[in-house]
Amino acid sequence: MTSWRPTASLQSLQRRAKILSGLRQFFAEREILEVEVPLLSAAGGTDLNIELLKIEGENRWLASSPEFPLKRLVAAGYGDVYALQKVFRKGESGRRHNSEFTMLEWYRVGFDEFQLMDEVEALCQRILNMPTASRVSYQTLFVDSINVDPFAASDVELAELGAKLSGLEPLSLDRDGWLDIIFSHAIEPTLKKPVFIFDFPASQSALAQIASRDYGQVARRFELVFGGVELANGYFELTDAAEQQQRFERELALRAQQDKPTVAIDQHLIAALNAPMPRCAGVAMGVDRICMLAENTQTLAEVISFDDNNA
Amino acid sequence: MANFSTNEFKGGLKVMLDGDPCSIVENEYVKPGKGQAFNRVRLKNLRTGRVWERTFKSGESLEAADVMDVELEYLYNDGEFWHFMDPNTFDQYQAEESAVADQKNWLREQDVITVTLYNGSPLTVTPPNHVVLEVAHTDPGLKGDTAQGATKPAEMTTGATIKVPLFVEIGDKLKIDTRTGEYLGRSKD
Repeated sequence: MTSWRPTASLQSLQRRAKILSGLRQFFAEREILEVEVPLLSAAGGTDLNIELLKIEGENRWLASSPEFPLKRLVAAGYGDVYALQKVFRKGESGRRHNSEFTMLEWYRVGFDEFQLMDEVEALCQRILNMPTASRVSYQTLFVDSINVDPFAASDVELAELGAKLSGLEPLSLDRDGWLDIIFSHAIEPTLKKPVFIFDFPASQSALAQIASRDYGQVARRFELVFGGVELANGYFELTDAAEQQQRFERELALRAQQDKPTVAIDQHLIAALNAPMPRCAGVAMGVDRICMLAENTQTLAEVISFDDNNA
Repeated sequence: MANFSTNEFKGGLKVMLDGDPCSIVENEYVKPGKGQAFNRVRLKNLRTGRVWERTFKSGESLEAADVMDVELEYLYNDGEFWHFMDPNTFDQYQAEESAVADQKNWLREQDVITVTLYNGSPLTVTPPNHVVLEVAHTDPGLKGDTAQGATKPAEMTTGATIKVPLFVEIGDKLKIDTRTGEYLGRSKD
């Protein structure tokens, strides 16, 4: 049996409490409203790589992010909002993962992704003393780090490189899977200084708008990587209800094909996008990872009172 | 044998990979927020001692390896096989040269040795960190030679050759570190 004792020290939890109040202060100064949104919902995200936890017998899913209700608030005209609360993802447990974790997510009406990157940077400078972050497109990052163009390279080329880096079978992943392998094995370890990565391949758009670049279609999405840790994921948000409905349906079809559990599409979100939802950008940050960087620990367990192993 | 899924991987777990039994050294769960989840695993190949780094898709599994460590008494070498016995059950095991490999020159009859069994047969042997062996041959000792650090080779009765101080003579019993092959001192045993 694991120990009953907390996995985080008292000092670590004291520092965590300060970080939480620092975050709230940051948003109060900018007049962004703190809201609480449901943890239990009748619908959920369809993302292929995020497994939801279902409450048996209740027909309710535990939230994997506060994204949908926050967007409904934005569409209802409530302005800039943020949520600082727990989210749940089945099976995500490890040194930097805990199946129940604290997420900070906020939406800025009228912002695009670059304005939101500036705000994320200001927050990290305040809370983590983060140095100035560079900004680089997904394509440039790959070309500069490993001389591979993630848009021009063929599926076979990416599979061969990914298989070489990982030892996985060349047929075992799809194109985006290999890009993830290449990124995590060959690029991420070299990212010591903070960097915003933007313009992801359109196939990794999730809920971001798609745009054309001279080298291909991109998702107007960004990530912040700092200290080798993926800290933030943001979008210039898709506001087209019909396209959102299509993306949900496509993902559910793929889920069914891969024998993965499916979830009800959030029709309230689709209706909200039709309201219409104003142009906006939103971002999610892992609060436990912020604490991990602040405390300079190697594991999330050291900044969480009780982790997956002894919760 | 059973299978272990990536979420059961932990240090010390014995699994089969590429036909060889391996011991898991480290298992790291990696998942980009919106991406594919996988596990980066370091495994020690128990046959060769080499450490491999491999990536698995989360949820993949590996077959368990039938590997266990036992304490056996070393009996003798018949020229082809090295023979060991379990002092409790008297079960005997024979090890091929590849299993005793670099360790064979540290094996003294009747010493208790850690033997790693794979499918019931010796895979590797690990002698105690410190052993006492007798000098079978060395150049005559130079009494009174206290020159700092001067050494000469000495061959032990088990076949190992180590560097010893000049005063060591044939028949001396020496304490030796088997991990480094270093002379530690003369033994009164």
